[in-house]
Amino acid sequence: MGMTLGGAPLDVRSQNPADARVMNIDSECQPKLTKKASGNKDQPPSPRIGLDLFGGDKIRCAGPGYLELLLPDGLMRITRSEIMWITPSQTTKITPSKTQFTIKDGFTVPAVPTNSAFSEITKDLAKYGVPGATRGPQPVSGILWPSDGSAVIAEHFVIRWVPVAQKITISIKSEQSDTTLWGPTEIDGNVGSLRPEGVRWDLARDKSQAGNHQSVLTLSLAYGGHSEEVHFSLVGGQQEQEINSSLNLWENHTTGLALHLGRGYSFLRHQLFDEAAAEYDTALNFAPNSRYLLEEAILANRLAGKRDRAKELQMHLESQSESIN
Amino acid sequence: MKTRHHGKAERPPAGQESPNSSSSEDQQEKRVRTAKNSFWFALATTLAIAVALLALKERVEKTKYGMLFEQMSYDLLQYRLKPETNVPLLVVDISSIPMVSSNGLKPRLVTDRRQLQSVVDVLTEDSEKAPRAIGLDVDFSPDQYGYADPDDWRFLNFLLKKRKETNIPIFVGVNDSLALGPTNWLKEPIYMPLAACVVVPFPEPGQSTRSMPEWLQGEYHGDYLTVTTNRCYSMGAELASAKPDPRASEKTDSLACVKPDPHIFVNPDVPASEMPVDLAPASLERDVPASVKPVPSWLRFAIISSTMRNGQRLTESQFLVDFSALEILSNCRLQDPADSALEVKDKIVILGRTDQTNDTFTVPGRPEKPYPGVFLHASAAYTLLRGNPLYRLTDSSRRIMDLLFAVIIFGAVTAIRVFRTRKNVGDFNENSYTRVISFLFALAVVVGTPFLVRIFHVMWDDFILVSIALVAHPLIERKIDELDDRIRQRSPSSDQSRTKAKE
Repeated sequence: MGMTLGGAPLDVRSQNPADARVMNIDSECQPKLTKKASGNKDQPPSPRIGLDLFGGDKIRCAGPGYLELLLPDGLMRITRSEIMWITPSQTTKITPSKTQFTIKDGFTVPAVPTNSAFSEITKDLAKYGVPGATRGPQPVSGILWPSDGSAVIAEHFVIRWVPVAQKITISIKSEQSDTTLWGPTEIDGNVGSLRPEGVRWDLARDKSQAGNHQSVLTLSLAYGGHSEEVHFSLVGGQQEQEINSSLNLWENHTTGLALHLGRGYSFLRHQLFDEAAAEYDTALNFAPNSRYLLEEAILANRLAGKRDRAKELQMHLESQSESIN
Repeated sequence: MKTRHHGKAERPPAGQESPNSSSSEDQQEKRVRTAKNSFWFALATTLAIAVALLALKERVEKTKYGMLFEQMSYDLLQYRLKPETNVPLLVVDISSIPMVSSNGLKPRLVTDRRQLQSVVDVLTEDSEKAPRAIGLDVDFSPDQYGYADPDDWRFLNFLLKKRKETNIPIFVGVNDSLALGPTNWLKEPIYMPLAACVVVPFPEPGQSTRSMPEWLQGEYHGDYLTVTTNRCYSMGAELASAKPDPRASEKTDSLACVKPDPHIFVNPDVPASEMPVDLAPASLERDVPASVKPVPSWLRFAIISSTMRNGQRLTESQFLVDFSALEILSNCRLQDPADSALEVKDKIVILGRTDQTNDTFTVPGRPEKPYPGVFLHASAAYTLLRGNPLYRLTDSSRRIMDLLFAVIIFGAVTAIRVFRTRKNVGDFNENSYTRVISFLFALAVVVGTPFLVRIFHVMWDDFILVSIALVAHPLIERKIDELDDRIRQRSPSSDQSRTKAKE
């Protein structure tokens, strides 16, 4: 997900909007940063490429080189001032007609206004409609589990979605037979998860066995004008036998941590992410600080739509890394 | 209808006219008078019931079931619309282009600009096979933190350059940036000719997305009481009006590659060939894009082809979209724009994500799955290109029509009654006739409306509710008759008892 710019990794998931960013530092610049007074007595971070700056921060080159800042208006190059008569009040003034900006005491980063210039238009637009075009951070599905292309075991089937403060309608259909297996049922969107009862799995199984192929199901979720669907498969027949034999293998030859790791791997291989997440979570009881295990557990939990659990494990992993450093 | 009682009571049986001429004239005159009175009474009753049913229908329309019926009716009408054989639109699927993290001040995922540029390059490289216009269903709106991707200025310059070289109109999507100012939809005035609005309106409660905007007009209040209005035409409207303009090369001379803000071009990595040349400031004048065909003035009281919505500072004009070409557009989507089979010559090409995207909407007539926004823009362009818009009935014409149906049925029954009276043909059971005619009329409405929508394009979405009302009308009338009969039967006995009491 991250992308590098001048060697600095950027991860969109971990950043808040900044007012400026250091994009380039000349080797002779000797950058100096003064953070806006905030009561924090820690030393300000040394300026590096990719560093986010916020309104009030002051940055300058102590050496003869230059540095480049990304501002909302574009890139700005800042050099050390040779003109000693510039007063501090003049130093913060941006002159767009110049490609270079020379300063003595430092360039003060202007804060980006919180509101758009014409906030009434923003409000009117929000009341009128939504953008019918691609824009990040997309795509994020409201259906967390089952995910597209995943597999489920009928007995463990659960639906997870991003909670919404309104009624949602959920239904499950079989693609082969075009039969509704469950729903449409209207439920409270705040709940976030549901274990549906009375799903007609037999209809999906009959069709898949007759055609000797995997049963593909469609889960539809709708509320207001929004609707989405995911396609997943129901484990059965030959695939079920394969999974069972691999699970038996692990059970017959391993115990403890290895057993759960093996079972988790088998489930993950068959896109049974929910079951895999449960196995890795159990395995973590045996080795809570194993980096490999944490990474696998994060992946399985994320794929199974258990965002909170994935986040919790991610934080644990990060704390592990910091303590090692 | 009330005439049944009066007609039956006053008319002498066939072949039993009195030999006395003066008495016969009196009777005739009395019959005529009674008939006249009963006619007006019956008409008044019919209209009263019709008005009551109309009021009931308007209440029902707001209920969950009423909305369901209206949506079903609208779905059926949309489904009946027939697409043209040659649809000059093509949706090119760009789902394979990855979303990458931008290096902007506000981190976000954006469609990879380099790959997007190569797609546009492929589409425009051969002038013999070039498309008529290109729309990018990608939201390029900058915000107060700048462009979605800091390098977007470079991509926009590339598009301006392409427009100049090829005369092919190219548009990119904007939405939120309407709030940045009258000329800042793509941050710099120079890029205004590339901007097309990509907003999809919220549907009415219980409905799917029926309409798309033709334009959105922002009202920008500046200092010293100055007000600037600027109209952002929708992607559909911009594309539908696009045709290679012979004056385009002269026109774009003043537009292309103007360096919008010198201090942003200091990146030494930008090759000199890409550096824009300084030209005169851009003219913001643009050709007025395609608009919805207006309804003739004499018909405007009854049908409309576009509606206006007024916000605090934003006015929108929107029109009903003809989704009949959706299957053709969906079937034409191509995974790989570099595919040799890509036939884009003289077509309007819309690049958009059709998979793994959140801008999906349910549309009328196809409730089984949501469609990505790119198909809605393509359908909007198709509606405008077709030049035969979909009409909606005005509220007043809906009411007039509902009343008119009641009067027509009443008129038909009256005509039969008059005919039969003149011919002296047996007894006349008006209620039965009314029931039969109402049922036939309701059937004609249910069958005829979806049939006629192909010819007249009138989206009369309450025709099922009207049909139900038409069938209910004679039943209600019959109940009123029965009630009336009971009152009449009771009245003479009460009179007699009163007389006896007096004696």
